[in-house]
Amino acid sequence: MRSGYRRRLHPRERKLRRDPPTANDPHGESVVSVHPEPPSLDINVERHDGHVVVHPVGRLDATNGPALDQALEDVFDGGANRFVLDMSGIAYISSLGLAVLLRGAKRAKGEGGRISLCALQDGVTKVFEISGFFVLFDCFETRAEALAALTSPGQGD
Amino acid sequence: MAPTQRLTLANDPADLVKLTLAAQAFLDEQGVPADVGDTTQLALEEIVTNVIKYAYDDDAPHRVEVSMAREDGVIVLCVEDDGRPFDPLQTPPPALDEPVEERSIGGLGIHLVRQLVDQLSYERVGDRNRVEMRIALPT
Repeated sequence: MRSGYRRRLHPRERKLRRDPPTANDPHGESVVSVHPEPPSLDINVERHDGHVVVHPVGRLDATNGPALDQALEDVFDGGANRFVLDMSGIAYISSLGLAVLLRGAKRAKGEGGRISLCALQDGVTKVFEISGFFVLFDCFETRAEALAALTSPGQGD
Repeated sequence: MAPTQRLTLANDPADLVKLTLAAQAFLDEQGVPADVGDTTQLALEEIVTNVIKYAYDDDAPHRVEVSMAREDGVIVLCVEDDGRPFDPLQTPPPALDEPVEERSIGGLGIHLVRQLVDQLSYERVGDRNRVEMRIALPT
């Protein structure tokens, strides 16, 4: 069984997946219509140098947005209001996904905290630009830079 | 005839999964590149979500008709509903420069569609809304 969006696949591999089937890809075409699996979002909450890193992998859309919303609420409720959101596993975000991020940013701001984003893929960068979301978040290339920004004074402090 | 995929959705957010899967099957079948595929998915998700959320005043079930076609060098998407008249070309652009505490998410979905698709058109046909979107394929 194969879905349009396989779990825990690196985004670059995901792009490759859309290429025509090869000998190494025996599933071939049309499997999607035979056994469609709902496009999923796995949310990993990790700890890194004493900070929480939220690492969602999958589609951040209307269907999956509420799961990330809940995960962020849980992180806040657990007492963390400065954390990293690693976006490396998100190739697709819709306005419902943006709404989840905005809610998180509002709560962080209200609590005097901050969410640092890192590793935005091209498609997400485009959506952020069109939506004016780079005004709302500090975005970094790497997780290490995003973590460093949590402990240094700067925008939002 | 151009390869076309049609589906009927209920005005229920739970049906958005069906939309995603049908669109993905269509995009895979047509070998559409990932970035055009994402724009296609986004355009459909935003327009259909908007219909489900705002088009109806009653609690009755309604049908939202979606079609996806590949024509010469372009993906053509169509969404039809029998809800209240709504022209996505006429909505005011959202304020994008407000600070986080004042920022509203309203209007962002339609704004994204307007910015990302190559052509967007709307017509009211009888008691139905018809939104057509065109997304160019790379040459």
